[in-house]
Amino acid sequence: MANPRRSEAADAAAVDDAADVGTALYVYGVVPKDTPPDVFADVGGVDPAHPVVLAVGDEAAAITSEVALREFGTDAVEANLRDPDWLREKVVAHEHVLNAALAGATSVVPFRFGAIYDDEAHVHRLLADRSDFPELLARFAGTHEWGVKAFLDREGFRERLARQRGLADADASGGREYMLRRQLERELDDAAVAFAADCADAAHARLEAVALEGRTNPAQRAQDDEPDVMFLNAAYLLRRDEDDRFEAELASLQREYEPDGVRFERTGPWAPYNFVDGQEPA
Amino acid sequence: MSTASPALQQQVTLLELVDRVLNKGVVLTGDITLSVAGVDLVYVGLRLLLASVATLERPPEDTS
Repeated sequence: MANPRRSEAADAAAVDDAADVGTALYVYGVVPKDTPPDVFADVGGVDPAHPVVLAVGDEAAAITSEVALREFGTDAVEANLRDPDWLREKVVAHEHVLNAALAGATSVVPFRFGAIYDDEAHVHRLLADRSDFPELLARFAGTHEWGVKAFLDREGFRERLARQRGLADADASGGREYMLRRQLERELDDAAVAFAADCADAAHARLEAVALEGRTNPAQRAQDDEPDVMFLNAAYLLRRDEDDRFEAELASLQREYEPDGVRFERTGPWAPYNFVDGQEPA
Repeated sequence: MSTASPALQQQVTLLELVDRVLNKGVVLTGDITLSVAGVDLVYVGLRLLLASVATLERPPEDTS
């Protein structure tokens, strides 16, 4: 693919790579076919030597950039994947491209990392073969995704509950007291688990009500020494112009549940990664 | 909303990023170089690594 915007550094690299075996095409995602190509003019791809360009099909356009086979060919990429620094850099680059798409395209269908095609003809075949892209583009038009996680300070919650029940000073001594103490511990654990489940249900229902769609993922296990336990790990699809409503609802949840030791964290906006089903439709 | 340090916040966001870029999104089969299984495996590895870094960098509880 001819590349008029190639930088000087890239030219130098190209000279070094004179004996290189060639390139393939990395695909980041799909946008509407009328997306202006200059949306990606200032963003570097997973191989910074090559610009990010659109491969425009009949129904949709694929966001692509050339990648050196020396780095992304089958054998090379398998070795590189085992290098966390390499992987982190490429994952961040993938995200930067999709962020540019969110900023400049009316709709974005994000791909998982690692879609690498032989050439543009293959990418066009992908666009022609996948019948669900127009439907996904329509569903995601004018939207983006926010991530919300909620954490409970479990020890603090247990202590407050024990105090409320007037049990904080129930010193364990002797067999019977020990058994009582054990029973109390179990009750406090159960109460914390039940509280977190109720809070997760209530928070998700309220956030989903101000969003277009919501999804929950399994809460991630805390490390042993982490004080806070995650009990909600969710993603919400929002109209881009309705962020204020969502933020207000989240702030209101934070105020209500903060006295119980709950903390909400929001990240985004993201391309709607959580709202595409991973596998190809039949 | 969160009182975590900017560095930790970045780490947390990187985890969120990895949870999406390596674990979500449209998966393609066919002509592609990277198998889903390969990406799934590196996802698990990188996630563990980042989670342990985030834990190490978590600041002590604010006692003021």
